[in-house]
Amino acid sequence: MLRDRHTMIYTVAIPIFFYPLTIFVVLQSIAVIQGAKERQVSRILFEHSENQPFMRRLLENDPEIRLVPPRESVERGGYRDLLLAKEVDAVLTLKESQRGEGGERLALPALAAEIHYSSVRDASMMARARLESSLSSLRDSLLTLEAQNLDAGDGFFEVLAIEQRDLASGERKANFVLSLILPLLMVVILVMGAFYPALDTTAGERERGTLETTLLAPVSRSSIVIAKYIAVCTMAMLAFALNFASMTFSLKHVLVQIDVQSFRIPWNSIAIILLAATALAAFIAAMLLSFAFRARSFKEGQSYMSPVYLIAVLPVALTFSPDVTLTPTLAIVPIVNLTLVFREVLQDRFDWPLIVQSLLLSFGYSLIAIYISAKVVSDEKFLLGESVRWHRKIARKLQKNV
Amino acid sequence: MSDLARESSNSRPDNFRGTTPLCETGGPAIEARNLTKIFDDRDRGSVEAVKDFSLSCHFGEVFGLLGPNGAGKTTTLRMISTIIKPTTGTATIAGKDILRDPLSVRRNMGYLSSNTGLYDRLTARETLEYFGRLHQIPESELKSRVEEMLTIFDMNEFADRRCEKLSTGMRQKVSIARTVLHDPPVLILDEPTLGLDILVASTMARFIREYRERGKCIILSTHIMSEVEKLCDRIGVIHQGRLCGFGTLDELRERTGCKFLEDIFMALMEPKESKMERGLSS
Repeated sequence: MLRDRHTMIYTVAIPIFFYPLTIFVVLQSIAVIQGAKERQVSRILFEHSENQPFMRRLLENDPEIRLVPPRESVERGGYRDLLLAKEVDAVLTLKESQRGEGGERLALPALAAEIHYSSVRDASMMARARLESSLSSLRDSLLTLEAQNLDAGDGFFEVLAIEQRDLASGERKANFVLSLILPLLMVVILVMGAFYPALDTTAGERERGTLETTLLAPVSRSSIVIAKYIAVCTMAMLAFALNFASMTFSLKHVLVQIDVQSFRIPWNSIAIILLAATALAAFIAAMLLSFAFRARSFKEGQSYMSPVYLIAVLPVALTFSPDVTLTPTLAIVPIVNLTLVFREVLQDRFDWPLIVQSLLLSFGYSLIAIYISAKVVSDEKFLLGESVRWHRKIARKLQKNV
Repeated sequence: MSDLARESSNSRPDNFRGTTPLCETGGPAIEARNLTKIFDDRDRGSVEAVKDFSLSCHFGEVFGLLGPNGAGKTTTLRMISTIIKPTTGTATIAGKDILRDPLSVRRNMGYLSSNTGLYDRLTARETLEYFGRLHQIPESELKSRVEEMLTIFDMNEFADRRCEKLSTGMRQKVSIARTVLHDPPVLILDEPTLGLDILVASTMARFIREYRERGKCIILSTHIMSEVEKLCDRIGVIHQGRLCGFGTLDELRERTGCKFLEDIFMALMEPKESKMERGLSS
């Protein structure tokens, strides 16, 4: 099967080369775009800057900001036009204002700043952030000056210092990211890994004229079904293993960006992930084969199996919500149960009865699907690519009974 | 017992390499009894493709099955070879019943038709090795048996080339080798020379003769009258699912009063009423 070009592309080439390359290219592109943005100088129109020389100096000394010459004709309502025309990135007005009660003890006049920006322009949003930072520095400087005027010391106005500390370990953060990505990845990769082998070993055989050759071999039809099933399962698991390894490797690049230098998945989690992936591969392969056996050609098989692909992948959307957890009810739902097992295990939550229930039920569902496949193969009408009129078949059975 | 369980009930071919006791005794190699096959057709409803087909073929005999397109030749051969099940009736191959013991039937038979394709991704050698294992040829004998086949059918030159890269003639050689690799006592050939050039077709004819000389039974379904005249000991004509007549060429000549096989064929396919008018009976 590995000699088949399609199987090689979808099972081996894409996981090993395509995903890491895609992630690398996307991250590098983001870095380049982000770098270019950060290097971009914000053009600020500082209205009435002659009245605020301190702030003006502060902005002139900021290498990320360039003050554009004031426009005499522009009034407050004209800022929008300037921003829309992209002549400036933001407009700053800084005026003296009225102090509240008790403010007479301070020496410096009260100031009110207004930042005019456009939330639909990245450059404007960046200009706003830079102005906020500069105004914050100005406020700190003004408070220090006021404290000196009051002979109260530099730290007089420092009443609340905020410091944020993330206590989640790098490993936990990495596992959290993986638990968001992996369930969807697992299902998509397993379905993709099983899709072509399932079609190739059924409709493909019929199309190439080798189905009769296979059926003439001195082996039972059930052995043929089981052999094909094992082949499809193996290819799905191979695709999963390669993807899991290459995605984990690629994710290291992502994790570095969220300040995680190293991470590891505990061995017991890996064991359960592999077991869950095997159970899922068993179910998906059996489900795909039971449909693929009915197809008379590769094309017909693709049209049968595309809805199956969607049916398999859509329930995974449930797992995107962090509030959805593995419950006894969800442990019954095929595919959803195992994707939730994945997430729980990666988030270091081991509810063993539910994990065991999910695994056993999934293997049970696989057996049912294999049984259906075996029934399909034993029905020569499907084998010979003929249609069956069920009502006629039932009618004939009834006639026999009568 | 279920069909699937019944299929699994046997293990080892009982006649690997060499003729079976049945060959030596000259007993029936193929015996079909009242085979009938009804298909459900979407447009035409129930279609009786083969009706009450009975036939007996012997070891050391080539039996030619003639009939126009859609006469039921392939359906009959597919029933005999266990690919499909008869609606009623049964058959035996080398004494093995197609319904009760399909696995033994497949071990005792080689089947070649335009529908028995080759696995494109395997080489000629790998194909033979694979089918040798499926037929449970011991590993110690498999290699030498494969080499023997490669030499007999002059395939050494392309033995390690993938089947998808082979010409039609080369593919046919691999198919024949695949069919007789386990040395079956019965060979069913459904239009084996279809689309072959004259050189490959004559190789095929030589192979059929040699196989018969080894005491094997061969059923040959074909459209080519000259092939039937040259190769077949007995001939059966099938039309609209019924065996209209069978016998040696001389017997058929005598029965129809025609000299050439083509005329015999046409005469046997005539409607019953016309035959009665002409004083013929099958």
